[in-house]
Amino acid sequence: MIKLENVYYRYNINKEIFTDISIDLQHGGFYFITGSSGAGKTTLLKLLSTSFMPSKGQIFFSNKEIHSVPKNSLYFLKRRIGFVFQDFRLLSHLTTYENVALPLKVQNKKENEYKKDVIELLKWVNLDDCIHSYPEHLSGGEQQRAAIARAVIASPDIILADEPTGNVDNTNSKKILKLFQEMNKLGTTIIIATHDEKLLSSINARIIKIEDCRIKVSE
Amino acid sequence: MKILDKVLKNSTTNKKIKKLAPKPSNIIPENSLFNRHLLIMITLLSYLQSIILSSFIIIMKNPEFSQLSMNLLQISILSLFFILSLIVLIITYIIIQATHTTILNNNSTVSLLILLGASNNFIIKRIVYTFTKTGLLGGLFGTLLSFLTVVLMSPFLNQLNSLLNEMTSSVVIVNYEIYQDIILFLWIPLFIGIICAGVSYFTSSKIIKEY
Repeated sequence: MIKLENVYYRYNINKEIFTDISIDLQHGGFYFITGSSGAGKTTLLKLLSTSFMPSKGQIFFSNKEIHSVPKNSLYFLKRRIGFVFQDFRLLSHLTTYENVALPLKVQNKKENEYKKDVIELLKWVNLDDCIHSYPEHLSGGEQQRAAIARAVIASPDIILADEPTGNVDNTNSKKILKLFQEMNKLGTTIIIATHDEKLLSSINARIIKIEDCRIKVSE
Repeated sequence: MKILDKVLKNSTTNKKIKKLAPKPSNIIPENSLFNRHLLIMITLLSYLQSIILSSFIIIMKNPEFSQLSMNLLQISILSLFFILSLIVLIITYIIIQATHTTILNNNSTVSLLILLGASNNFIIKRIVYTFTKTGLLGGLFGTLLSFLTVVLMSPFLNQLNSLLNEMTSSVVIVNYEIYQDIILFLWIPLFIGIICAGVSYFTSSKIIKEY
């Protein structure tokens, strides 16, 4: 699904984040990315989502090297990825419904086609009372659930989640994990960056540990 | 009765759906204060453009105008084109700056849309729509205001002409033919709208490519 080959990434001359990392993420796999704060979990997710380009090395997405894809066609790849951001990144001028429907709207889908699905998903994540609410009126947990709903609404091939259970209680954390597991059963590749030890031990998934600019993948 | 029931049922269902999913907001928000200022500036510039053109038509219709020497005629036409081009240049500059400001103000929205898989055209279309709308509206207001000015001023202009030339009212500066010519100025909003659309399109596509 996504393959990194001898990838280097540095922010500037002095700060190296990754040195010669290679990884092959299989289609339909469930992965956790872990490591200390500032180790590069979010950077790795951004490399996987093609938001960042490697300083050196190659990234293959469905056997296609991303450098070979014209910049103005990269959006086709991005549409196959659902991203849950650590800071949610919900648009403050849009309602919960509009925020969740955004990935479908950018694909130029008509509202009649997705209205029902969005409402059903909002009900599923217990946000049916907040359909018309703006993000500023939502709690941290509600914003997080809205961000997750936005990531899954377009049925992407891969979901990249950055600390998806960081702001939710235990019950909602389990519910979110269940949602990811269900999506995984349907063939979606799930990659979650987390510190949460409970989350790491809760399911049987491969763990990608970032240490000293390199990665180790557990079997 | 069955039809009435059906209509009522449909309207209740529609209301429910509307309540659940109201009319969507703009994905790239419009800053109302900024847009109002932009609209006022474009209105004033298009007013200036229309008033200069109407004055030129009024002067051209005056019999004394044809008595001017060829050189003077050429100079006056050249000056008119120079002033009109200057106004077009000012509008172009304002739209370039406004497009930059809009994208800068909505930087996080634009980056998120790109991450969600929005094509460049999807984003550019929304920006161009806002500026085209402002250009068309500003152009229309400005032209209508200038037309109104000419209509209101015409009796005073006639009187002034009579006084200056010590003539009778037989010489008419502003007549209905001139109004017909001035109505043709309604293409000005379209022209300004096209300028706004073109300039905002090229500016925004250049900036969005960098994301």
